[in-house]
Amino acid sequence: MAKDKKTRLHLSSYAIDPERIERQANEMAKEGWLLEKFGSLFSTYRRGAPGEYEYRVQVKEAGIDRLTYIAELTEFGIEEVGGVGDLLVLRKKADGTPFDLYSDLDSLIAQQKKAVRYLRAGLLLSLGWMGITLMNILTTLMNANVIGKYAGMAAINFSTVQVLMLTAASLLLLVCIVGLVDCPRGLRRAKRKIASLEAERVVQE
Amino acid sequence: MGTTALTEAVFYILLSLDAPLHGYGIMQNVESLSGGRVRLAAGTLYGALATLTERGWIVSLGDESEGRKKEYQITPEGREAVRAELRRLHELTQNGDKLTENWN
Repeated sequence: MAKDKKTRLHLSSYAIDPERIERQANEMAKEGWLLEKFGSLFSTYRRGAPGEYEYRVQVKEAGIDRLTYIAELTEFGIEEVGGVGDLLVLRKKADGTPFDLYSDLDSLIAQQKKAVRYLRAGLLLSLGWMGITLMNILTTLMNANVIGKYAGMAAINFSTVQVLMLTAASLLLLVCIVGLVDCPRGLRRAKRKIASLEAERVVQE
Repeated sequence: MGTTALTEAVFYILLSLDAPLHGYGIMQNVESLSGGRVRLAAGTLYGALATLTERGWIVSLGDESEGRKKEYQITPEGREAVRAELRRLHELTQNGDKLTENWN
């Protein structure tokens, strides 16, 4: 029997890029995989009718209470799937009417600027964690006498805890590298969009 | 009071809030006031409501607890913002009419 549910692990850089989350959720929905849950590490999809839902991702206004906002969105036929921090993943049954979260250029520009702030934070976070992880790896290698070995000192001696720490640090390092590659890409995309919307804003509201 | 132009969304939201209304009611009222031309999307609407509350042009009424829907109403400062915008729009239409009456 075919599986009707699947869970995907995603990396930190994916969880903070609104456009990527939205694109992937809509692509999966077209194939009949509907995003049901979204968290900082995992996404859960359920088998359903292709195109049953449309997905949008937004960075919530700081002045709006999350629970109140979600309660009010239900009147618009919109429900929350999940989110990370102020980032909300929302969906609406596809009923032939457009599912737009923004109806004017000013709010579209404001939303893109929030996405830029999110991606910048992601980039800084990736850099910070990369520094901490590299320090951690270096300290573990020194404690295991790897560096001393090449200076003609005692033999290398890894404990089980050190092996586990090195494995975890290597995985974290991988996540940081992905973040360092992906966040600037998302930033460039969002900035291009802001420039094009601002050019449009000069001539129309 | 700023003298910059209000967006169409903000102008219609302020006009809608003479009597208390919640978000969905505002959206319906704006659509009706504009003869169906302006349909506010949820993100635009709630973004504007947060900004207008922060500026003191509208207030939220009733229960402030989390997860409860809120009603909003215009304040005297909000009314003054609408009047200022109307003066600006009158100036625009008067100048536009004056300069285009001999066109064709």
